[in-house]
Amino acid sequence: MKHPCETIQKQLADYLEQNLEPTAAQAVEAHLEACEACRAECHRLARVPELLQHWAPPVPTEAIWQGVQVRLHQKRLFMPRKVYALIGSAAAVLALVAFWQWWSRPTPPPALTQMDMEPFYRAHLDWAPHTEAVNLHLSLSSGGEVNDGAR
Amino acid sequence: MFVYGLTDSELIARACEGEERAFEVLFQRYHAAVYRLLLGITNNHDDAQELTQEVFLRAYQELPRLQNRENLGAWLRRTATNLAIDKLRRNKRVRFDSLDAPLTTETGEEVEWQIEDPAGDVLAAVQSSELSEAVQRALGQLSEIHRSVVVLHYMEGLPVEEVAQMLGIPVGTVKSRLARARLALRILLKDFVEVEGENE
Repeated sequence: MKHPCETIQKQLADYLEQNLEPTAAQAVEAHLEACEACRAECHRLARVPELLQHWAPPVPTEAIWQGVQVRLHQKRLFMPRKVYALIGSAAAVLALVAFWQWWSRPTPPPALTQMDMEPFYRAHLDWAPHTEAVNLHLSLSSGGEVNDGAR
Repeated sequence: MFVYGLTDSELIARACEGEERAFEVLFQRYHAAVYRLLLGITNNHDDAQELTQEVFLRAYQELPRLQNRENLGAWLRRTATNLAIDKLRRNKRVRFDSLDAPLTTETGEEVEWQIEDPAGDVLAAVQSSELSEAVQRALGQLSEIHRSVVVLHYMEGLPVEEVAQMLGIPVGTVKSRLARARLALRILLKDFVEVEGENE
């Protein structure tokens, strides 16, 4: 049969972490009230977290920040975001200007048809009835479009 | 430019505008704590340095989306813990021991059989540097799963519920691991645990 102290001391860490059932915890407490040796062991175990606070890890080196800097610059993440904003704004303005120029471009005059030109030819015939070129044109343009060179 | 007196929130706003100096001040404020946490969990200087860089790279990219800018420290700690755990998993060094299995070291030996006998160091034990080194050695003796809960709960002060959430394990498992780690550390730090006035 195990000595009660041995059983209790195996439970002390769980007791300190509040990881025991209430009845088991009460049994441990009752034993600690009566047993100086187990109480001392409980105090030792309770000191462990406090001891860990004395850990002073080595100071991290400057190389960490240098590495962060290098990697951020490689990814171009350190370019001031105002610069990105300016680049974006400039691109938007250029796009607007291009659109405006396209939108307001001079529209070519509608092509003149034979019907549009007929009164002018008639007037010209009245003025120069025997002009060979005009006669020729009238004979050729029977409803087709008239190009600028014919005027 | 005056940046040292700015709050985290103000520095984050400036860093989001691309002001490198503001981000450097944030780095200076938190990098030692992040490194300490990572070194505690990984027990490896090179891993801790590399992961510290990674934490701050992620931080810079996430700053504009950070919900609670005054809680940057907690965000960094959570990110660092996740990265460290991922790293350990990738390295396949984490052993998912049964809770009843004996606590073992990196080499698979039980902690009780690995305890150094620092009999000659008893007088020097009161020196904090000695204690710090002893703690460092003791942490290195724990397996990663025990070291993680020890670092997060005892050293970083996170409640067990938060540790459980971060590690994705039940609260009871966290408590069991803490209890077993405490027992191991009690043995590993046996020359330092004596309460004043007591004789072992």
